[in-house]
Amino acid sequence: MATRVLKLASTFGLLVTIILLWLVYVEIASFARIWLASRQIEVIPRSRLQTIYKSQDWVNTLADEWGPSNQLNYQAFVGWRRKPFEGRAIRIDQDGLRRTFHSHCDADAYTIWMFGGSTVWSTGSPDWLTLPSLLGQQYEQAGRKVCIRNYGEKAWVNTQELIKLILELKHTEKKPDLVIFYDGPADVYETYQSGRAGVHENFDEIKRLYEEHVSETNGNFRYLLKTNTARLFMEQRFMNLVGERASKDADSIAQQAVRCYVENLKVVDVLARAYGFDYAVFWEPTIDNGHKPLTPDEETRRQRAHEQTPGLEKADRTARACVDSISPPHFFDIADVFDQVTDPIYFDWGHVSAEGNRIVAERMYRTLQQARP
Amino acid sequence: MSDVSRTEMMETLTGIFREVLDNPSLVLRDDLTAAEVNNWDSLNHIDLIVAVERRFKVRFTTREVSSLKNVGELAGLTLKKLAAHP
Amino acid sequence: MTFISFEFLVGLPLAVALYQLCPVRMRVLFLVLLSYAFYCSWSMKAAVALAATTILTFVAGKLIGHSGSKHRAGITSLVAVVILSGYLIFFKIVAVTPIPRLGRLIMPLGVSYYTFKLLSYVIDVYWGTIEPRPSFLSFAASIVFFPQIVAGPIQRPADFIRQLPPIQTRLSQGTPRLVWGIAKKIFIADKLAPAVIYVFGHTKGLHGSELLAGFYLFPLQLYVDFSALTDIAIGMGLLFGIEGPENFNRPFTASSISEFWRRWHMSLTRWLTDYVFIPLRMATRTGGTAGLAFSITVNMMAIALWHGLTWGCVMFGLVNAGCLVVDALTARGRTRFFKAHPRLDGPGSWLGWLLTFHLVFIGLVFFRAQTLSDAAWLLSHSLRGLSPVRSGLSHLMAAAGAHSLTQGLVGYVALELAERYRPDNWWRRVESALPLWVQWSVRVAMTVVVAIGLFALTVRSGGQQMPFLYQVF
Repeated sequence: MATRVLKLASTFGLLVTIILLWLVYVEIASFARIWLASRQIEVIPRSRLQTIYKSQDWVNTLADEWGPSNQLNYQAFVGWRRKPFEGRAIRIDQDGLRRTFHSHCDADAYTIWMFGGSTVWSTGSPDWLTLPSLLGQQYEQAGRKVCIRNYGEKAWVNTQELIKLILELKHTEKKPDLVIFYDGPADVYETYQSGRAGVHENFDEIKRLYEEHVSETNGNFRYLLKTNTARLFMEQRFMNLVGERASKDADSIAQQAVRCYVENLKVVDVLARAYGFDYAVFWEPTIDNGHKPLTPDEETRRQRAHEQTPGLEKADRTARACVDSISPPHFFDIADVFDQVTDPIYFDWGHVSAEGNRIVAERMYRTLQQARP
Repeated sequence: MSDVSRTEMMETLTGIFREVLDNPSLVLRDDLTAAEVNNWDSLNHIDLIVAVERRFKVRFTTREVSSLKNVGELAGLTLKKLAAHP
Repeated sequence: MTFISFEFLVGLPLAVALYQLCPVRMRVLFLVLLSYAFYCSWSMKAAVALAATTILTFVAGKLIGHSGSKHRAGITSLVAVVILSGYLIFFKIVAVTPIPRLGRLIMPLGVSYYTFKLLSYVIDVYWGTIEPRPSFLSFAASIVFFPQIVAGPIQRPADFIRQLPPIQTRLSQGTPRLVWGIAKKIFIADKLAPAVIYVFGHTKGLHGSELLAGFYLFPLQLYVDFSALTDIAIGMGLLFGIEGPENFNRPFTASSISEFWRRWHMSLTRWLTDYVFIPLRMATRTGGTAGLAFSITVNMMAIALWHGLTWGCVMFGLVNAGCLVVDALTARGRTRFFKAHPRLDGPGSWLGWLLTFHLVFIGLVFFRAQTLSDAAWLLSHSLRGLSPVRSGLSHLMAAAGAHSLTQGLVGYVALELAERYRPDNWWRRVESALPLWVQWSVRVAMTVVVAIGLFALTVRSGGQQMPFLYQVF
């Protein structure tokens, strides 16, 4: 009897030991996995930059400066904006605005404020080849000198841009003559990710971090949620949830995103009349919502994107069709801007090369000239 | 052909195997299997069966053929058939 | 949950550790529960179907084995075979055509593999090759055993059950095999995949050099991918004390097409040989050449259609059947010719090897191409427009990622060399001659390398993975 009990106890002890050791192993493996993923801080890997830009001498500088310039400050109401940075290919000022070339900001210059996400900020291009810079160049080539402010910031959605517009209108002396929005798909992505329109990207994660921090006043075991294992598990579950939701509700996601977007534009319209500025809203192209003939490399990028964000393609296309059918005032759908371009343009789902920026800037300029002769 | 001994059976089988498998130096053992012999594949297997059937004027069923594991069992099966129908 | 996913690989060591702790008499139950848990994580409904067919087959086996009359046993086994075959064929059909009310049903995981295991049990019991198993648990374990359920190898229940209860687990053999399989998949097969996907996804838009590249790359990718799956299956099996049958024996070294089929997907071809070819051949053995051709063709078509009910598979079957018939009919003549001209034997083998793998590769184009017309295009245009080789290949490199493709090819060459020279066998031979401290240092070093390898692969797995090609059967 005693030996039986002893044997049982030792088996139980062994079992507990094995499980504990295994949990440690899982924690280490999760840590390694998260660490590996975080090393990919480059949105666009150096090798791809080099392939598209070939042997330009600034490519390595751009790739080197990407990481250090990618630090965020918390900003009231809009969430985040990049910290100031002094580089050669990337320069960000004290207000978090990226340097714009071909921009002449004299006292009475025609002032353009450009709002958007990382495509306006122009991930993958140096300062002199950003979308705002190249738009400025379009004006220059036509004999006009304009002042362009690049309010683009990564992962921003239209609502953040609207809030930033309000904040800037409040405290900037010189009001804009023209406000440009270049976005759209980011709002679709945000709705796809969080399941609700009208919030910002990574809403659930930021919400969780905030609420965890707040609840730290009492003693609890919530620190376990900070383990690598828990993080990985929750991330996986989150991704599965996003994928499942999108596969059922792609249309609903698109419609919600567009509805929020269109309501924002009504506010912009009111502001434009109150502050006396003109405005233009451009829906941007993605690798899915246009009909560009894709190069083999772009095709691979597209497949990759579909694997990582299943169901987003349908929402993306539906949203474009939806906003086109509503056709708000001052709205221009330029998602077809690359439809005749056979050269490689896309780095990934949304980011384009400097050549892409140039094509978009040209189209924007032409559209603006045609709309107001 | 009613009283064939085991040894005679193995001798005759050796002749058949050597001819069908085109291997003049092949030596048969009771526990010899197809895996050990070059050229003894599923196609030749049936040719061997047919040759044995013709030689001894017996007939095997698929069931019987499928359950044979080695040469010894083939010899034993053939002898059994001969004893049953002399 | 797939095999190469973080969740699976991180959970495997726990399963293995608990299995070690588990008393031997409870290990079969452990395997059944673990395998069903794994299968349920994929789909509950499919698990129910699997359990139902397993129970049905077990009962049928008992009825056949203990039946009084041969006649009754025959009827029972016929009914069982018809039900099981119908079950498999149903899912094969549904995979290509949606059913009005059910829509498109996804094929249950491993249905082609486990149905063949069940069929082999019924037929073996009927033929008297084995006795019906007394223990349902052992039988169920042989069918649902999770390392083999995803993509084989097709181990006969008798062979599996013979090894129960699994007293001895073989961690030192199983772990390196498992790591080797995962590494093959991630570092070779997945690197070759993008180029293959590109060529077969855009076939009609491509010319010469790209098509030719796709022609040669696909069979290599298929071989590495599938043999990797087999390595993983066998490696994992060994961790639980079960030795599974091999599936591959350096297939691309075959110098005749019949030899190729004795080296490729061996567990499947052996199954079909035993249960389709031999019975058919026995029935047609007096039919001369026609009987032979008929048996070979039916057998080969069965292999082809087992993979899917598509025209591509049909053509794949016909091409191989044609080659096999010609091979069978000329075998004797060829042997005699080379015996009479021994000096031509060397070049003859070499030519045979070249011809064999080209014929196999041609068949595989039909297997892989999305449509028959794509396959025809690829075969007819591979040798046209070869001059812009650099631009064609550079397109391919761009699609596949130049580094990726190069790595895949270098890896493949390394793989073939490893399979030819078998460093592991060499080590086993020289090991005992070396001083003890050398032996132990190497063993420790190998263990560390394998453990780190497994850890690294676990961390890296999932994410941008290519799905296993043979997992959809």
